[in-house]
Amino acid sequence: MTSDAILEVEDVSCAFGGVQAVDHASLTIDRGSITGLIGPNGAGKSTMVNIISGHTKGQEGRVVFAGQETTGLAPYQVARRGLIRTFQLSSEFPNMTLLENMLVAPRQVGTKFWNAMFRKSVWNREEYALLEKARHLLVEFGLYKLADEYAGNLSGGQKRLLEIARALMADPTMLVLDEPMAGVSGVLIDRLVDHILELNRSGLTFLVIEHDLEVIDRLCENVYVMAQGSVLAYGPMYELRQNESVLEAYLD
Amino acid sequence: MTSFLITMGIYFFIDLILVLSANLQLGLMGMANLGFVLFLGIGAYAATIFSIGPEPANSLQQYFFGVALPFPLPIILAIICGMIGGLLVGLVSLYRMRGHYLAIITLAILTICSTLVEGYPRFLGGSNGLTGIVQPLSSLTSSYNGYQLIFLGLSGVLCLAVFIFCQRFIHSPLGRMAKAVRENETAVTTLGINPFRVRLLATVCGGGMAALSGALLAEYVTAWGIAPWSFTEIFPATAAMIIGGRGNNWGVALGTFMTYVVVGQGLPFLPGVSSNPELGYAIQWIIYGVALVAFLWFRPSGLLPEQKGRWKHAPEFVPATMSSASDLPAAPSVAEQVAEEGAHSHDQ
Repeated sequence: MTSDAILEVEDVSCAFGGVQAVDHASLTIDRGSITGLIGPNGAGKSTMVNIISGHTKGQEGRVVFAGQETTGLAPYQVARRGLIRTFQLSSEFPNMTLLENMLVAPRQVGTKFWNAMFRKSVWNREEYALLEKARHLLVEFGLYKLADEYAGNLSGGQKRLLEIARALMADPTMLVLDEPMAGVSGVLIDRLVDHILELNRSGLTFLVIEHDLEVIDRLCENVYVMAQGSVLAYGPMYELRQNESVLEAYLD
Repeated sequence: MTSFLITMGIYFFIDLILVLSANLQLGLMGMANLGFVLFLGIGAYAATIFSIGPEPANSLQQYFFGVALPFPLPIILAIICGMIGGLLVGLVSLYRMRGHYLAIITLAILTICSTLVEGYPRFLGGSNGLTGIVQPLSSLTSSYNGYQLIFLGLSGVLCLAVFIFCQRFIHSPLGRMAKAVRENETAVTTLGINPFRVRLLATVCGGGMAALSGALLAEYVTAWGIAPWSFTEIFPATAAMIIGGRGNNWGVALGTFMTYVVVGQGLPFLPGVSSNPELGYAIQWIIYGVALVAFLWFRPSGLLPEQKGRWKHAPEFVPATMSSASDLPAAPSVAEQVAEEGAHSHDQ
């Protein structure tokens, strides 16, 4: 079981002042799975994601990603190991075009000062290869005709699509989606679900935090339930629906 | 008249270097680093100290150190001092400060430095300043007009070099990364980018550029002191950048021309102003203020707004897209997109 775990969160705690946001919680995410993380408001889901991605420092416990400990690393260091996350609020770069947004994500030789200044021939070739990749991804996500539009002009749902497409440019091994469906409706939800399933089939691991339980049902084999900072239950959705304590947490 | 135009050209080049430095930090990266005037002063003092020679025994001028180094060295050392200054200020302030906190702390550092120089005259001449700065390449010619041309060439070449530097910086993957840091710092960290490194890099480069501008200014005027080293200098530079266009080097050049040359140097030609320099000065500040407010209100991106990144289409792109996208379930409008893109791909 632990041999094919890609992410292990062991006994993590985090308090803000007197509020115990996460209280000795542990998660294990299997490689190649889509795992859900649900729970009522204030359950500590977002704090958990922030600890995983390095945006919040937990006071206790450890995080192990792909066999290496990432506890206490800065967010950009975690990201470089292949764990990319998205945010509850869409976080596009509004005054840059979609293609520019996409090209920020991959690591490029041209972002090194010396190369940028004096070795255009070195980074230009790489740039065009990445450009090709970015265009294909935009086509896949149905955003290609907006490629030269400013990202700030997109609709809420399109920004979500762009964010996931941009994360894919960074070649992640695992994506953590913090409420990807927030502010997205109808057809776009179906599109996003299809994309996530498709990407998962190609080997990407997902951790999805979501309030829309129907979406969780369609996406995830197994789901963690958090309440008041602790992990309450783990299992497939149909089992959780019969779990007394889970129902209680949601009713409270 | 020719001599006047040459002087104007020299000031244009010197000021443009300063505004480009401000643009790299404020325009491209959105860092409210007002310290570029600090680095201007560092550069000017460094160029002075490294060219003026040792302190004469019985002179009214007081300063420490003082060597007479040959031509390119004072300027190079000034740039290095500016970069070191940028590095130190960046390390102190950038790690935690953003927005107006950064603006306040950089202003505070500027004030501390100028107060220090003023209050301790033995250090860098205090409020009397330093005069008699040796002009670079002045041994080449003895005529005034000849030297004016030489300095025009020198400042022009250096300004061009800085301009090319900024163009390469902004239009590279590094510049794109810097822009992204401005747009959303948190999002950038989740893509494996360390925003602190990018900010520090911009501050160091900006420090060096502002110091170069200061060095040229001091060497051209042959005097430097705390009077021209005031935080009011922030204002015209920022106005030039905003009027011209933040993040666009050509816009910055246009803005510098409008503010420093047209308004700054053109006003004395107005009837009534030439006999009353105080009036000209007052009108100049009113124009800067009104123009700044008007631009921020009606055209915040400036005369020449920041350019979108554009790339040529790879010729084999469209067919490749068709074949690879046809088996994807969740792209309902691929054919449409490609067709539409094909229709107007010629104008790119």
